Amino acid sequence: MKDVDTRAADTAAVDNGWPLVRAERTWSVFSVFSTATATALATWCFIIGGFVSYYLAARPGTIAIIAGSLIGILFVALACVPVSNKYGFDAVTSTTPQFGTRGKYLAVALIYLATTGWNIYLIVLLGKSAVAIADNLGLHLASSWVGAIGIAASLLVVVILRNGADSVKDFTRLIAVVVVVLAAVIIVLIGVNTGWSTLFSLPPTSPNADSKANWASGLEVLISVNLSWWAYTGAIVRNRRSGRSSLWSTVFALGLGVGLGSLAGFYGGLAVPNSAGDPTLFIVAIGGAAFGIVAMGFIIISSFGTSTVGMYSATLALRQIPAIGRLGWRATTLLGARPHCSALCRCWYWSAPFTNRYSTTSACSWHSWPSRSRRCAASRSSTTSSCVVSATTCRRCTTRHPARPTISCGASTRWPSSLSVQASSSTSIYWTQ
Amino acid sequence: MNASSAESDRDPRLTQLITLIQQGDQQGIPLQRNDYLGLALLTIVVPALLIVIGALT
Repeated sequence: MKDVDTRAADTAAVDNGWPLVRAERTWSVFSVFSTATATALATWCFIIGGFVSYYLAARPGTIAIIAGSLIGILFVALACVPVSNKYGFDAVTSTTPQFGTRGKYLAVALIYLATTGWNIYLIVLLGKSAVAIADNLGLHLASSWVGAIGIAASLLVVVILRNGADSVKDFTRLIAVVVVVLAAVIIVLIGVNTGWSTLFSLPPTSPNADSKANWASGLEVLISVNLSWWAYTGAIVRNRRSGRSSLWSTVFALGLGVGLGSLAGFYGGLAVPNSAGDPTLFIVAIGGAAFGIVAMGFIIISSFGTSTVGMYSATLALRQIPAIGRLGWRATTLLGARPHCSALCRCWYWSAPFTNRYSTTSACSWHSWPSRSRRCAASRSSTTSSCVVSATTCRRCTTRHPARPTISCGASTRWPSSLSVQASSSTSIYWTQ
Repeated sequence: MNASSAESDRDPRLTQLITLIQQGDQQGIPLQRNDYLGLALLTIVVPALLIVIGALT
């Protein structure tokens, strides 16, 4: 009887974010490291690296990415590791001394919104990758399938999470090794196909005139990305007894891991300038259909890993709210998945404008357009591509933006050296902005 | 008044855990001075050197 009570208390402590005493912390070093790796190496690495490729060439960009990721993880490691390791609770509870018992709900909101936002982003990319794989296999799916696949993926994450922390540990252990190998293969393949010397001589896509501003942009994006690990770190390291192994897993897997993973998007963004690091736009062009399928598989697997840890962190945070804490674990994970499904239903409904923009910019973000136009107008060194510019009306923002130009490009890896862009008069207004 | 009512509403298992976690042998193994020094070296000194190298090249 006592054993049953103790086991129930253990489960309640793990699932509710209560303090975990030393005997209840069952994760090994590898479990913490693999969970952190599976969290860090996700599709966002491509987008982050693609952003740096706007501003920096390969050599300074590589240095800035590694330096920025190391600086950013310092703050998260200091904020989360000592306290979560000592008392065994997550980031929400660790804010109680500063914010108070009611103020900690601000931390709940921050963690929930941050992880949910990132998860939706990843799952949309997962859906796009699945559609791209189907396309390569000759199954031409409509873009509305992105939303449908995304909803199915969200529900699958709920199923994976049914046993709480143990599910996260077991699932990410499988994923971590696969994503590390695939990320390394993608980097090597980009280098080999482009030529390492060519890759390191390519100019940035859309640099500022001030070189210091370019450096600052490259560093800042990695610093800010690493700050977002605050939402995840406490939930991971609370399961490990040793502070030392938690610290170095955080620094190397979460911090440096996202930096090294971003190199794939960075080199891809330099090699295929119109991709902005979006792998669904450059992987097939670089490696051919077979490698494209493997790489899209990487995107799907890594997105699952990160979404699982993200939803676990969000569920732990939600359970700090008394009314939700009284629900069962599985009911809370379903509650956590609800925004994903709502957003993806919208994605399904507004399929083309939403998903086509979501990969490289925020959803239907008008203000991202000028940078895209600059990239299109930039001269490049090869002659194998075609670029067609046309003006269309944005289906979501009709009232605000009467004519939204779109670009469609041929499946090539270089822009012609003298690219002339023809656009309608209404479009050219925005070209000059 | 509010604090005492919140404590009385608290789940007894949580109260027990809060008492337990105050004991040093129930807490996680803390970081040592060398860990903090290593962290400072890796996340402050190394990036500073990288930035200098990047600026010079």
